[in-house]
Parts: sequence; structure tokens; C-alpha cells
Amino acid sequence: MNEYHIGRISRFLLFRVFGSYGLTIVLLLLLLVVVYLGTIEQTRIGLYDVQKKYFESFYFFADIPGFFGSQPEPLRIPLPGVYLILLLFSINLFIGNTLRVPFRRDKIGLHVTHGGILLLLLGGLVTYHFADDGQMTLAPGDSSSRFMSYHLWEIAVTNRSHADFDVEYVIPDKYLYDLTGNKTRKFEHPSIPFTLSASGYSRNAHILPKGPMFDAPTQVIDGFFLKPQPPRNENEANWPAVYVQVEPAGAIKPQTAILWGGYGSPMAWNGEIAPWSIRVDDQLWDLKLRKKTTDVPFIIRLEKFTHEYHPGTDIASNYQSEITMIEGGHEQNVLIKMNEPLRHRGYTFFQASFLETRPGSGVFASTFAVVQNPADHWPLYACIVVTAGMLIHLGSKLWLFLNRERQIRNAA
Amino acid sequence: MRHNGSRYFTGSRINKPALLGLLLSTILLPETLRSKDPDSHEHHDHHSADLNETLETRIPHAWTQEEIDIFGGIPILSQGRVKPISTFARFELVKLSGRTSLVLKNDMGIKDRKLSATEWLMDCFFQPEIAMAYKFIRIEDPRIMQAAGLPDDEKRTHFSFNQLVKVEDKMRTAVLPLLEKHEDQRTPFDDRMLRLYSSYLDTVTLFQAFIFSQVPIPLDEDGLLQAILEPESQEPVRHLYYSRLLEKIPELDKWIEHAGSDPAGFSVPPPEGVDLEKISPVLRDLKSHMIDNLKVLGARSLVLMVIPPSAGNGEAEWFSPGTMLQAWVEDMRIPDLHEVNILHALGELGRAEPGSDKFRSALEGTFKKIDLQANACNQVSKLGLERWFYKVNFFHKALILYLLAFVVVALTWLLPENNFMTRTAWMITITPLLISIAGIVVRCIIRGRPPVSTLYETTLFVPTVAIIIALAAEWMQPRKIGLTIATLLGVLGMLLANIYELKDGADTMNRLVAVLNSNFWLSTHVITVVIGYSAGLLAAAIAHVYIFARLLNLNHGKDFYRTVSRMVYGVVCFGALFSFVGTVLGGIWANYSWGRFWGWDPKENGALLIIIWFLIIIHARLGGYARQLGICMLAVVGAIIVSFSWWGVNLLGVGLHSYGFTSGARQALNTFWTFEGVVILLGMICWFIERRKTCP
Repeated sequence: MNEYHIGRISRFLLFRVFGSYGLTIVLLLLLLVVVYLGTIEQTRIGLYDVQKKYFESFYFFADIPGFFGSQPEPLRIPLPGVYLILLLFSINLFIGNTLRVPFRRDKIGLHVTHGGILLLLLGGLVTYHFADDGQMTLAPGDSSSRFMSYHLWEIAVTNRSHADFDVEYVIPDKYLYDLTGNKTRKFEHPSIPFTLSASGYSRNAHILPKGPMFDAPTQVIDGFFLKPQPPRNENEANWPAVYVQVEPAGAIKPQTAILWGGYGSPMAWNGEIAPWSIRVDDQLWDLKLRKKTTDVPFIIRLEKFTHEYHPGTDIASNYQSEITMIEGGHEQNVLIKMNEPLRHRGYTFFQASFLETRPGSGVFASTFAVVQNPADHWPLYACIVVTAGMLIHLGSKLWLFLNRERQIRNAA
Repeated sequence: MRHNGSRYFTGSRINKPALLGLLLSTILLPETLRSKDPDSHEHHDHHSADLNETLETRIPHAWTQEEIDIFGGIPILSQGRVKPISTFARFELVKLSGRTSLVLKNDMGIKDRKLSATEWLMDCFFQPEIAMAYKFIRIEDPRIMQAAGLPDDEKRTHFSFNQLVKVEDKMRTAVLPLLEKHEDQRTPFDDRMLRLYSSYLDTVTLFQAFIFSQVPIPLDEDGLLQAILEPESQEPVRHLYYSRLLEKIPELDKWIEHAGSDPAGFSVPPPEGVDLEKISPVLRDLKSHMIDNLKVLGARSLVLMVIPPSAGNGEAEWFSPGTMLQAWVEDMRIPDLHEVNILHALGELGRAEPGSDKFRSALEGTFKKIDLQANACNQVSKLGLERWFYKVNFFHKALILYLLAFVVVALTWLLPENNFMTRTAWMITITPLLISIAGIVVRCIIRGRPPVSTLYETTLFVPTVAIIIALAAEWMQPRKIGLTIATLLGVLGMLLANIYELKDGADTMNRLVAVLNSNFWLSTHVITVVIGYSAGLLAAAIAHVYIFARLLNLNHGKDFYRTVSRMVYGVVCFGALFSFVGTVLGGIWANYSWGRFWGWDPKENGALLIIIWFLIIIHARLGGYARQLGICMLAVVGAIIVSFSWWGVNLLGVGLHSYGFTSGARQALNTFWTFEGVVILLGMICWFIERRKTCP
């Protein structure tokens, strides 16, 4: 194959495939089908799993049940995930627009529109890869500078031997997902005097006492074992668990434990899980499996939470939190309410919900949704750009059309 | 104890005391008192016997327009909103019967006549013994009738309270196990059964709204209590009503506290011959009797939330007489003067004979007192407008005019050259459009919200916008296609709104959750996205014209087809703009309200599907994959997608929005989709036929 052929083939690929209307339509049709399937699937499995399977994936298998009549085996069709479709769509959009739409004054609207859509898609990509979100729940008087992820977990290993500070090391749960069966993974760090091995991870589990009358399906530790449960539709209601083994250097006997994400206390909302504490080389270490925790560079203290209902109903008409934001010794009072979040240093705090700290106590804790997203405002910019582009393009077309009609009518 | 309802009706004369007895013994005090005290059974029979002597029988009263007007204007708090009682009546009746008025068949010796919702509610309140025979409780499923032991031989869908009372035990046995079931596990049948039982209980609460004023508290036969409570009365007093008795509560308490200890401790010396030792237990009995009764009464008179809060103290809580009396007698809350006044007025009203002068003046007095107080706490500024809104019945008028307009437009097709007809058709199409726009605007003013914030409001807004676009298209391309489609969409849209209101059975101006509190992004988002729906449906409607015309070869001009398909394409472009902007604005609102632009929620996905489809149509035309017929067929698919996004995704939450409404909606959607599928098929047939003709 010589250069001529390569040039022809690449031109063919560029024009006839990647920049083609045909590809646009195929991709849009695939997007239509996948979004539809993902929407319908939400009646069966939870939103979180649907997102993972349909929308954030490169490909997946769509199960069409009952396709083979009475056979229980569903028909499995491989389909591209929305992530892949949108990636290809962006390429198609970029090439198609550059190659096919001439850079002329009457095509400005089209260029602007397509540019805006690319910006929107890019914003989605940035959000997906670089944004962080979670929640912070505070009872009146409480203060905090960290928020917890909704879905992600981590093993936190804390060195507690320092007098006035703790040092935390974390293992994100993506290193635990595949640890089913007998698979074990070791974790080491120069500052940690032991090796940590994790195994037997379960996304949703109960911890049960081993009775004399039955065999436990998993390893029994101090009379307890981990019993995997089917995952719940509402992913937030899944409590993961994992076996961990701590092997200190030298000939000291390893110790094993089960770390469980489930909360034992009714004060579940503030994420206080009792850790597993061990002593290695005269240092006190805490281990726990907790929701992924992120620190923000300032402190939020809840001063007062108020909520109102529409009279005679349990429909909340308004709720709001008076907070103090503490940063470097400087304090500032802020009111956060529905549709009026606090934005500070790239983090946004939204009034999300509230709950009673203890049933019947009448004291309410306020929950904030915390988001950090570099592409926060991009959709707005994209929306303005696309609207302008479409208005220019469609408006000029309409104007031309009406003019022509008038000419025809005048001529007649 | 079971009663045969018909026993209480002899011709048109009704034995009210006996009925009150029935209410008291079978409904009002079922488990609570009976289980607590087995003797109370006899006690309440004694009540009705007592009532028999005090109240006389009477003839049902037909309400005068003036009475209806005064009563209908009383403000009431219901579902978190202060509204005129006429609105409350309307939606109670819609909820129970699926209708906005009640036609009385010649069942009870009364002539056939139509009752407005307000009249029906007045009958429920003031002459329940009559309303009990009205057949207004709807059961659509014959299996429910069988399960409840009701006759299902006729084509009957509505039953009277009297019929249901007879099968109450059966209903209860059927319902109790259903309450144990988790919501997700209930079948549509279970939901309908529960719905029936709750209709039954709702009806009971309506009948009992004024019972607080009618239940007398018996006094002791020795006249000991009379000597304390009604010392001025010359006649022997055998019973007192709550509103009178409660005035004496502070004094009663004092007597209870001091009885038997120190007579010198009273501000008023004990009447002569009253033995303090003897009266003490009588007093205590009386008070505990009142508390027991009011616990039941209070819990069962929640519906009459007509006592406004005090002005100025920022309290938003309205009271019903029952809850107010209950709080009072249990020393939880002392009512203000205005509240006592209203309570008295309501008591008078409840005891007055309907049709009598006393009733009239009591009604006027009640209205004035409530209205004054409600105005004082500034909660009723738009009630007059709301009453006017329902009286004018904008959307019903618009429906009729659209029908008329359709006929006129159809005539213009027969007389294509007649300019006068065309002008008339325009006028007569624009009139209902203006009426429905006025209706939407009035709703906005009453609610103080942008025009679209509930599903019901989309049923008003979507057709209205579609009609405006259709008329704009007609103006640009005067071929009467836009005009015809405008009138058709008007008829269909107003019908849909009407059906939705009746099937949903809830106040269409309900309160919204906090997150929907008015916001710039939200209002612009909803309006633009809904305009996208309008465009999608309109494009499909025009596409139908194209497909049918081409299939039946109605028009031979090439120009005609080109124009129509261009119209479709133009509306699709318009729709693409609005759907895109609307959907992205929704994301922006979500992003600024709780920090996420897109969450793959079914409603969001539905909107995305519409955008994708519009883009497919546009690019299919650009790429030459679809021409005139192709664009039209794709536009019809668009209608399927729009209806999925508009209604379909709301039905995905299986079992949550139960009550037969969803099953009805699902059926309607399936019918619509099948119809559109057939239209697409016809388009394909058309394509094949023409292809064979052109390339032999």
C-alpha cells in the first residue's frame, strides 16, 4: 500500500465515515435506543446501576427477556454505552461541521450551534471525570469541614499516635470491587508499619453471629461472619463489608477483622462508625470502611435550621440553614436555602434535606449537598451559545423563506 | 350493630334523630369507644332516644341561589391551601364520583335534577340523611362490586352511602389485609379496593362535618349540673351542646377542683341545695365524657378547616371545630375571641333547620365572621377571583367554541374561494384561543406562579401553544391546514384537560414542594420544554394530513405536498430549538438548585429522547435519507416519543400513582401509540405503491 492509497483510505474514513450524516444518524439512533432502554431499566434496577451499565460505559449487553419464547435465557445484544456513543458523536460533530459546513456568513449560525453543543458535551466529560460530590449533615451547633460521597467508599487507615493531629491513609473502593472469592490484595505504604490485605469484599452485606447449628459461608472472626446480600435498588442503602488482615513486619502474629460500612448507631447521619483499633509498634491505628470523605478548605458550622410546611400538610414549603463559615480564623454568616446555595472556593453547598436527629426529639439536622465541579457553569454558557446559534440560523432561514413567498405571491 | 339504611326514609320525610343515632352508633364511635367501654353501646342508644324527643322530623330543603352563593364563598383550608368552599366541594365530588356535578335520578321520590358540587356538599353537611341516598361514590371495576357484595347486575358505576353502609363489614374485611401489604406489592385491584374504602370514609367525614354542633351532652337527671351550668333557665335542661358547654369549662374546672373541700373558695357561692360531695363525681364524669367524645369528634371533623388563625401572630394553622374543641377541652389551647365567635356561629348553623330564617341568618353570620377573620390575617385575597374562574368555566367554553370552529373550518374547505368564510373561520378559531389563554392567565394570577408547574397545567398549555404555532403556520402558508389542525388540537386538548381533571380527582391548584418554589430557571425551563412538546405534536398532526392526503391521492398538486412537508420540517426545527433550550435550562436549574446538571432521571431522559429525535429528522433531511414522505413519517414517530416523554415516563413508577387513573392513562397511551403505528404503516404502504408506479 503506497501513500496514495493511505491518503485515499484516510480521506474516505474522514469524509465518508467519521464526518458523515450517516454516522450522525446511526449514533443518534443508538443514543435513542440506549437512553430508552436505560430509562425503562430504572423500574427494575436502581438508578446508580443503570448509570454504570448504560450511561457511563463503553459497551454493555442488553437483555431482552422472553425472546426465545418460554426459555428463561434472555437474548443478549451488545450495544455501545452512552459514553462511547457521545465520544464518537463529538468526533462526528467536529469533523462533519468542519468539513461540510462552509465557513461562510450564512452558515455562522450552524457553526455557533455546533460549537455550543461540543462545549456542552465537553462539560459533561469534565464533570464526569473531575467533579466530586457528596453530602454533609450537621445538627445545630455541629461543625465540619468534610463531606461524604453518596456512592463511593474507602478504607481509612488512621495513625492516632500523635497528640494533636491524626494522619489518614485511604484505599479507594475501586481497589476492592474485584476481591470476591479467594482473591486477596495487599496494600503497603512506607509510613505504615504493617501490610494490609483485603479480601472477600461484598457490596452489600450483613454481619451475623455464627450459631452452632450451621456453617458460615465465609470466614468466621470472633464469632461473626460476613453474609453477602443482594444489592438494593437504592444504592445508598447498600452497606459494603470486607475482610482485612494486618501483618506487622517481623514475626508478630497477623490479626484479622471484618470492616463493615453499616452504621450501628442511630446517629447514622454523621458517619460515625466505630473503627477497628490496633496497636502496632506502640502506635495506635484505626481502620474503618467509610464513605469516601473529602476535606474542604474551610469549616461550616450549623447555627440554626428552620423548616416550614404548607398549613395542614406534610409538604415542606421552605427550609433553610443559617450557618457560619470559618476560614483562617475569619467567620462569616451565611444563609443557605432552597435554590440559594453557598458557593465558595469551587465548592457549592446546597440545602438538600433534613432529618430528625433522634425520633421525637424535635431537633433537626440539616443536610447539604456538596459539589465541586470545574465545569459548573459550562452548561449555561453552552445553552446561551446554542440558543444564539439556532436563533441566527433558523431565524435567517425563516426570513429568507418568508421573503421568497412574498415575491412569489407578488409575482402571481 | 348493622342498620338497614332504607328504614330511615319513609317517602320524602326523613327521621333525622334516628339517623343521627345511626351515625353515632355505627360510624362515629366504632372501635374507639366500644372497645374501651362495652357499656357505651347502650349509652349511645340512649343518646338517640334522647334525640328522638328533642328533634322533629323534616322535609329536605332545596337550596336557594343566594344560600349557595354565601356558602360557596366561605374560605376553607384544604390540602395546604385556603380556597373557597365551592372549590373544595368541586374537587371532593370529582374525587368521589369523577364528575363536577351530580344528577339525581328519580330514586327518592325527588324529581330528576342536577346538583352543583356546592349544593351536594351543603346536603352532605346540613342534610346528610338525604345525601346518604345520593349515588355519587364511583366504583368502576365490577370485580370490586362483587368483592364488596354490591349488586353488579346493572350497568351501575355509582353507589350511595346507604348502599355502602350495608356492606361495610365486608369492605373492612377486604381492606384490612391490604393495609398490611407493602405498597409495591399491591395489585391494581387492591388499590381500587382501598380507594373505595377511603371514599367511604371520606364520605363519612363529610356527613359528620357538623356533627359537633348536633351531639348533645346529657346532663344528670337530678338537675345538679343544671343548677351550676344553667342556673337562670326555668325549664328543666336535659342536655347541652358543646359550644355552650365549653364556655363553662373554666368554671367547671374550678368546681371539680374544689368540690367537697371548701365551699368558701368559690367566687360564686354554690346554689342552694347543691350538695358538693354529691356533685363532684357527676362533674368529673361529665368532663371525662366530653373528653372521650371529643377525641373521636375531633379526629373525625378534620374536614371543616374553616376557622382562620389569629391575625398578626404569624400562625398559619387553621382549625376545624372538632380539633379546636378537642384542644380546648383538653386544656391544650384556649381559643381567641374570634374563634369562639366562629365556633358559636358554626354551632348555630349546624343546628338550624335548612331553609328556615334561622339557617339563613346563621349562614350569613358564619360567612361574615370567617371572612372577616380570614381577611384580617390576609389569606383570602384571591378567593373571589377563584370563584369567578370556576363560574366562568373557561376551558369548557373554549372546548365548545373549538368544536364550533372546527365545523366552520370544515365548511371553508367546501367553499375554498369564499373570503368571508375564511375570515369567519379565523375569528371563530381565535375566540376560544383567547378564552383559554385568559383562563391560563387567571390561573397564574390565582396561584401566583408561572403558567406550567403541574401535569394538569401542561394539558392546558401544550395545546394552546400548538394552536398558536399552527395559526402562525397558517398565516405564513394560507392553505387552511394550520387552521383545521388548530381547531382539532383545540378540541382534543381541552378534552384531555377535562378528562385529566376528572380522573385525577385532586385540586389542580395544589401546593407544590419547596424545590419548585418559583425560580427564573425553573419557570423558563418548564415553559420552553413544553413548547417543544407542542411543536412535536403539531408537526405530527400536520404530517398526518400529508400522509392521508398522499395515500388517498386527495390532492394532485406537487406544490401542496411540498408546502405541507415544509411546514412539518419548519415546526420540527422550531421544536428542536425549544426542546433543546428547555431541556438544558432544566439541567441548569437542577445544577443551580442542587448541584447536578444531568441525573438520567426518566423525565430528563424523556426530554433528551425528544431532542435526539428532532435532530435525527433534521439531519436525515440534510443527509438526503428522508424526503417529504420520510420526514412526515419520522414526525409521526416524534408524536410517539413526545407522548412517552410527556405521559409515559410518569407511568413507569409502577403502583405509585395508583387508583385506576394510571391504568386508564396507560390504555389511552397504548391506543394512541397503536394508532400512530398504523399511520406510519400507511405511510410505508404509500411509499411502496408510489415506488412501484415510478419504477416499473
